[in-house]
Amino acid sequence: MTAQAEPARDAAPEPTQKHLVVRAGEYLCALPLASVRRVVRALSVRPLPGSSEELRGLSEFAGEPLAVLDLAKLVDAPPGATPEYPVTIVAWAGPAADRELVGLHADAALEVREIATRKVAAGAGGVILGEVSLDDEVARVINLRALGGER
Amino acid sequence: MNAPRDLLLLSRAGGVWGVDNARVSQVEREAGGYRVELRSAEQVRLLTADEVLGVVRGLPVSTGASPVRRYWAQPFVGLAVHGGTPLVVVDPDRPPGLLLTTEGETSDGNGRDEQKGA
Repeated sequence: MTAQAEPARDAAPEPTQKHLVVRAGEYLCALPLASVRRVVRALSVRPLPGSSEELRGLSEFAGEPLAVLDLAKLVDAPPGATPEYPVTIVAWAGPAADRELVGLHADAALEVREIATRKVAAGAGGVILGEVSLDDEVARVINLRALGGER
Repeated sequence: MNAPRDLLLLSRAGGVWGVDNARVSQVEREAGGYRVELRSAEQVRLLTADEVLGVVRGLPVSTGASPVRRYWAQPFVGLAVHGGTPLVVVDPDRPPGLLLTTEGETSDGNGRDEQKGA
């Protein structure tokens, strides 16, 4: 008499999170989709004299003032080709209790991807939460909570 | 968002700036722009503006602005929008250096204090 093999149990689904994948300079960046409020054509900004290069300037969104940051500068991305249709991603940034809307200037918004949490290789901290392989390219997973408070 | 404020709006260095209108004691035209005098019990500060845009009453001011504070070292009260234009609401006791005239600030009746840099 042969033993009957147990039917394979369904494996527990791998935890994933939806991310908006964008191009910033030569890097791909993945932003948690739950924090993204809107993607718009690149907003015009008024620079603040003497600001760090990460801060492109001030803009207006839905009647409110909006700080626009340069995503490529935030992640130290090498400059890429001049973008044809740059975008501003309006997203919630900072800790949950004190979150604020911020604009992130990027070269292009590409797609929404499910990213498995366990596949994100932890980064050094700060704005880059970690890195994940997407097809043939490495994407930096962005930690929007790190954009609030003092630097 | 904090209580609405009455602000005198100025343009300077490509930006728009709001100053507490209650602290403005004088606006004077000078070569190339305007001089705005801010007065408190302790001192007088002189600001320079390219243009004076007018007084706006009851403008809502966002005082958080953490992303701006993170990457811009100048002190400020908050941010606002008027007519679709974003602006910085200045701290009248610590205005950004680019708004100060070369005369900077004076203490009340005691000669000139150290000039604040840009």
